Amino acid sequence: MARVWDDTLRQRISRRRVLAGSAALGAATLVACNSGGGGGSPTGEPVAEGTPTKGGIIRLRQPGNTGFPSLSPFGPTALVSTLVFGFTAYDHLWYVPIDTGDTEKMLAAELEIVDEQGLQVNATLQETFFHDKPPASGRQVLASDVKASWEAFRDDPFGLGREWLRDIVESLEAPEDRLFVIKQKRPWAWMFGQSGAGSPASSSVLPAETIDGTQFDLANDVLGSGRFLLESHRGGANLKLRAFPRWRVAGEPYLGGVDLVLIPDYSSAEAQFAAGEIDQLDFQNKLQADQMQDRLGDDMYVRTELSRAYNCLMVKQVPPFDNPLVRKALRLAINREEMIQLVERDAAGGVNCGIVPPAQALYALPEDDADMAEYLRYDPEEARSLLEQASFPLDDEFPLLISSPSEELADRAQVLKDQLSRVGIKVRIEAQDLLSVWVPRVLIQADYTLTLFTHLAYEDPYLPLSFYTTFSPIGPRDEAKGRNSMLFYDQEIDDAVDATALEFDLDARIDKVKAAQRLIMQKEGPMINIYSGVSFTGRRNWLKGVVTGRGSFGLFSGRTWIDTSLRGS
Amino acid sequence: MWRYALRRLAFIPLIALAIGALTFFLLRILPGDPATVLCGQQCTAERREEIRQALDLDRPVHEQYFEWMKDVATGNLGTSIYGGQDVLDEVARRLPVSFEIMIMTLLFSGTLGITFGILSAVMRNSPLDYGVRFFAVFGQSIPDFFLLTLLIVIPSMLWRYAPPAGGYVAFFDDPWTNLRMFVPPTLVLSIGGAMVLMRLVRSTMLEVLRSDYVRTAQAKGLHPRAVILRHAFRNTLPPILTVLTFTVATAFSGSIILERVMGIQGLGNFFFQAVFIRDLPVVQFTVLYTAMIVVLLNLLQDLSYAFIDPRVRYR
Amino acid sequence: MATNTIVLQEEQYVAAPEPSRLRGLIKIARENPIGALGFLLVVVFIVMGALGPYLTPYSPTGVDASAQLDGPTLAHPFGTNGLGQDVLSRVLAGARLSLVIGAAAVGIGVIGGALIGVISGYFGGVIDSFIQRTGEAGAAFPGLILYLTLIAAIGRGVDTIIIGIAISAIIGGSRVLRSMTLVVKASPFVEAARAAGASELRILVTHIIPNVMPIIIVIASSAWGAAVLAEAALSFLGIGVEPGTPSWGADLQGRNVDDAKVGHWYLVAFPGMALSIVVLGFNLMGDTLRDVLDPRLRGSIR
Repeated sequence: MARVWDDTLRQRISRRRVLAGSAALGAATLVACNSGGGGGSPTGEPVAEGTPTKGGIIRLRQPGNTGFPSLSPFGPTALVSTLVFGFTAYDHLWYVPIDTGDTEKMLAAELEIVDEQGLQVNATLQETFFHDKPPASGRQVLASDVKASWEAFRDDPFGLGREWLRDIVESLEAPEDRLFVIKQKRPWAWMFGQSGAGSPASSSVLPAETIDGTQFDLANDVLGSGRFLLESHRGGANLKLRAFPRWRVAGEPYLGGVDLVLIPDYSSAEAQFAAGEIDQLDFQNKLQADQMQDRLGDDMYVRTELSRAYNCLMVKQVPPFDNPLVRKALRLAINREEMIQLVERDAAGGVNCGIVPPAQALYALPEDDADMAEYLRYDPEEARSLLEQASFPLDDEFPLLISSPSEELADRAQVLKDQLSRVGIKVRIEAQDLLSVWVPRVLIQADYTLTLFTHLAYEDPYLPLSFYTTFSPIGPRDEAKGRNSMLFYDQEIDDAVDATALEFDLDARIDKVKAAQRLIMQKEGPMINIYSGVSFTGRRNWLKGVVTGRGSFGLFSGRTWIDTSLRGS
Repeated sequence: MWRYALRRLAFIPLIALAIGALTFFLLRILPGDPATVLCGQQCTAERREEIRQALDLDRPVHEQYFEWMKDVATGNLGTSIYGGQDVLDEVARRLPVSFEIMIMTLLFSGTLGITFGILSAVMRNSPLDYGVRFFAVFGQSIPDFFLLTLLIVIPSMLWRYAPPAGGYVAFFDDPWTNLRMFVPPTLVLSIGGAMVLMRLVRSTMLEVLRSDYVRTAQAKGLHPRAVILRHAFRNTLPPILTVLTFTVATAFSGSIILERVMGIQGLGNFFFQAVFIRDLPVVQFTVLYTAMIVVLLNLLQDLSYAFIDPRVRYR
Repeated sequence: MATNTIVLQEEQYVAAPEPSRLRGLIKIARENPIGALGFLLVVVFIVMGALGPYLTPYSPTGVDASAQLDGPTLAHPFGTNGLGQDVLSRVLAGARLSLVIGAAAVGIGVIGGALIGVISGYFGGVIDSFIQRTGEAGAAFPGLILYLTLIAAIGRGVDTIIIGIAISAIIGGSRVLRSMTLVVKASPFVEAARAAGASELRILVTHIIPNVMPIIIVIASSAWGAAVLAEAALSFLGIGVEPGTPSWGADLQGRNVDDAKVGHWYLVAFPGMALSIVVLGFNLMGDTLRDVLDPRLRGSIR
C-alpha cells in the first residue's frame, strides 16, 4: 500500500545522495560539510514563506499533569525535562539528521578523526558563551566543560542509552581550552549518532562548576549555552524561555522565546489551539487532525511525522516459543493493517515496521523488498499449521505483559490478543505499572514470556539491531553467552551487527545494516516489530519555518519564526 | 462525658502509631522496591545496593521505623524519592486544592440536603416532596464517576466546551476561572451526599415534628417557623453531623476520582501517583494524615453529639 | 454520588427485639411498589448476568475493524466502540462480571463480618475492645493502600477485587453486627433465658442469631449494590480488571470518553445507565427490606 510518507521519504533520500556526491567520504574523515563553515543550520525543506519577523514567542503545550519534578539533566526524573532543554537551553557538539545521515557540526567547529582506525576524534570548539547566570555568568564554553558534562552523564546511574559513553569510550580529555579529545576502545561508526554522542539527553554541555549541584540548583534552574535561556517557571510548569542574545549564530534564533503552557487535559489543549492560545498541537489521531482542519481551514496546517518509535512484541526464548516455527507462526498471525486501523483509527495512522523502523529511511528495507514483504505477510492459515507442526500447546494461556497507563497500548494488546486467538494461541493481558513494576521486572530483570511495548529508537539502526545480539542493552548478563533479554544468542547475527559499527563509509554501512536485517528476518528474530505510528501535528498558519521530519531539532532549529503580522503579537 | 473524651483522645496517638507502623512495614515488604526502580536500566547489584544505602533501605526495618518516627516528631517529613522535593512543600502546595474541593462539596451537600430535607418534611406529600424524593433516589444511585464523565462528555459534545487549562488557579488570584474549574465537578459530586442528607433530615424532622414537645411549642402559640428552626431542627443535628463527618472523611477518596477525571492537582492525585511509584515518604505521610483526620473527625462527631443532645450518657 | 453506608444510633433501640416474619411477600410487594420495582431490577440484573453472555451474537472482546464506532443500529443496538466491539455484548458481559464479583465479595464479607461482629458483641471484654479498635484503625486506613498492597502481593484480577471488597465489607459489617448484638444481648428475653439456665451457645443460636438475621439480610443487599459500585470504581480508576475485560466501570473511561466527547455518546451512556439502574434496584430493594424487616432501623441505615 503506497503511502504519502514513502514519497516524501524517497524525495529526501535522493536529495541526500545529490549532496553527498559532492563531499569526500573516506575512511579518514567522517564529516560532510555540505553546509559550509559555521554549522548549526540544518538542511531540510527549503522554506519560502516570506521574510522572517523576529522576536515572536512560540507557545507550546506542556503535557502531563504536573510540572517537571526536576529540571536537572541527571537523575531518575531527567529524561523528559532533558528532552525539552536539550534542544533549547543546551548546546551540543554535533547532530546527525535522520534524513541525511550526515553529521552536522554545531558547537564543534572542526571534527577530525586522527588515526587510521577511527579510535580518536578531536573536536575543536567554536567561540561560544554560556548564559549570563551565575556561576557561569556568560563566560566562554571550554573543552573542560564538555569533558565534565559528558563524564557526569556517563556516571549518572539513572541514565538511559549511555552504552557508548560507558562501554566504548576509553577517555575524554581537554588538553586545551577549546580542544576536546575523545578516545575509544574500539572503532565505532555509530559514534556520531544518537546512540553515541549525538543524543541530546546525554551530550548537553553544562558549565563544569554547576554539575555537582552545590553552586547551582540544577533541580530548579537551567544554565547552558543553547539558543534559549530559562527565564522563569512555576513549580516545573509554565516555563518561559527567551532567546539568548549571545547565541553563536548571529541573527538567530528568529523566535524571541518559548512558552510552555501546562495543559493536562487534551480537549482543553484543542480548545486553546483553536483559540490561538497555543501555536502547535499534537493530535491524538488523524480523525482529530481532520476535524480541526475543517474547523480552522486556512488558519492552520497539519504536518505528519513518522515516529521513530515502533511497537514490538518481545518473545522470550523459553518453550514453547524457542522454536523458530512458533516464532514464524506468531509473525504470520499479526495483521498489521487491522491493528493500525483499530488503534490509530485510520490506515494512514501507522506504517509497517521491519527490523529497523521505517523512520530511519536510509537503513530500513522498503515494503516491496522481497524479504520485507515476507516479514510483513499475514497468513493465519499457515500460522495455524505451523503451530500444529511444532506441537504448540493450544490449551495453555500465556501472560502478555504491558505497561500502564497507556490506552493505546492496552488497545494494541487487545487487538493482538484477538489476532493470536484466531490462530489458537491463548493469551491473557496483564497490565503493570510502568515505573514501579514493568521497567524493573520486564526491562531490567527480563521477567516475562511475552511483552508488548513501544520502543523509541531515535535515529540509529544500531539500537534496534542490538536487541537481537548478545550485546543487547537490556536483559540479564549471562557469563558465557552474553546479554540478551529474550535469551536469544546467535553468533552470525552478532557478527553481522558488529560489522556495521566498523563501517565508516555511509553507503557501505547502509548495505551492511540491510544485510543484518535480512539475516535476522531469515532466522525469525524473536522480537517481532509491528508498526510505527504517524503523528499529526497541527500548527497555526503564523508558525513558519519549522523543518518537518526532524522532531524537536526541526522545531528549535533557530530558523522557526512567528509571523507577527498574522498573529498580532 | 469529659472522661470519655479524654479516654478517646488517649487512643489517638496509639492509633497513629499503629497505622504508621502498619503502613511502614507494608510498604517495605511489597515488591516494587524503589531502589530497583531508581536503579534504572544499567542496574547492577552493586549500584542497587548503593541506592538502598542512600535511601536507608538496607537497615533493619524497625531501625528505619524509629528513624522515621524521630523525623516526624521533629517535623521532618522527608523528601520525595523521585523528585527530591520536600514532602511538606508538595503537600502544602496541593492542600489548598483539596481543601477547596472539600469545602465546596460540603457547602453544596449541606445546603442542598438540609434545605430540601426541611422543605420536604414540612410540605409533606406535596408535589415538591414527591419530586425531591424521586430525584433523591435516582441521584443516590448514579455513580459519581459516571456523573463526572457525563459532565465532561455532554458539554464537549454539545458546545465544544473544555475546562479551563493552565493548571490550578487560586481563588484569590482569579475567582472566575477558579470557580469555573471547581464548581461543576463539586456540584455534581455533592448531589449524592446531598440526597443522603436530605432523606435523613426529612425523616428525622418528620419524627420530631410529631413529638410531644413540638406539639407543646405549637400549643404555646409559637410561630411555626420558630418551632421548626429552633426546636425541631436542633434535634436533627446529630444525624446530620454524622453524615457530614462521613462526607468529609470520604471527601478524600471521592476527591481522588474527581481529581483524576478533571486533571486537578490535589492531594488525592498526589497520593495515588505516589503509591504507584512507591514514593515511600509521600505515601507514609499521606496515610498518616488521612487516618488522623478520620479518627479526629469521629471523635469530634461523637463529642459534639453528646454536647448537642444532653440526654445521651456514655458509659 | 451513590453511597451505601451504615451508621447506627444505639439509643434508638429501646424496645426488645421481636422475631420478624417474612410471610405475605405478595402483600409486602403490594404495599411497597417501589421496593418491588427494586427487587425486579435486581432479578433482571441476575438473569442478565447469568444468561447474557449466551445471548449475545458478538464476542465482547473480539475486535472488528469494519465496525468501528458505529452508532446504534439494528445490528448493534448499543453501537460499537473504537475496537469494533459490540457495546451491548460488553454491557451484558459486564453484568456477569459485576454479578460474580458482587456475590462473592458479599458472601465472604457479610458472613465473615457477621461472625466477627456477633462474637465481638456477645462475648465482649478484651476481644471486643481489640476488635473494635482494630476495626476503627482499619476503617481509617485508606482502602486504596490496602488494595494496592493486595495487587502487589497477588496481582491484579477478579480475585483480588473480590478479596479487597470483602475486607471492606467485613470491617463495616462487623461494626454494625456488633452494635446489634449488644442490643439483643441486653433484651429481657435473653436475660430470662440466662436466668432459666440456658447455655451461652444455646442463647446464641436461639435468640441472638435469629434476631440479627434480618439486619444481616438488609446489610447483604446493600453490600451487594456497594460491591458492584466498588468494582466499577476500581476499574474506572484503572486498578480493577485487566484492560480489555468487559466491565462497566472500565468502559466509562479512557478512549471511550475521548470518543464520546466527539459524539459517540452511546459508548459511555449504556454502561453508565446499566450501572445506575442496578444500583438503583439494590437501593430501592434495600429500603423496603429495611422497612419490612425492622422498622426501627428506618432512620439510621442508609
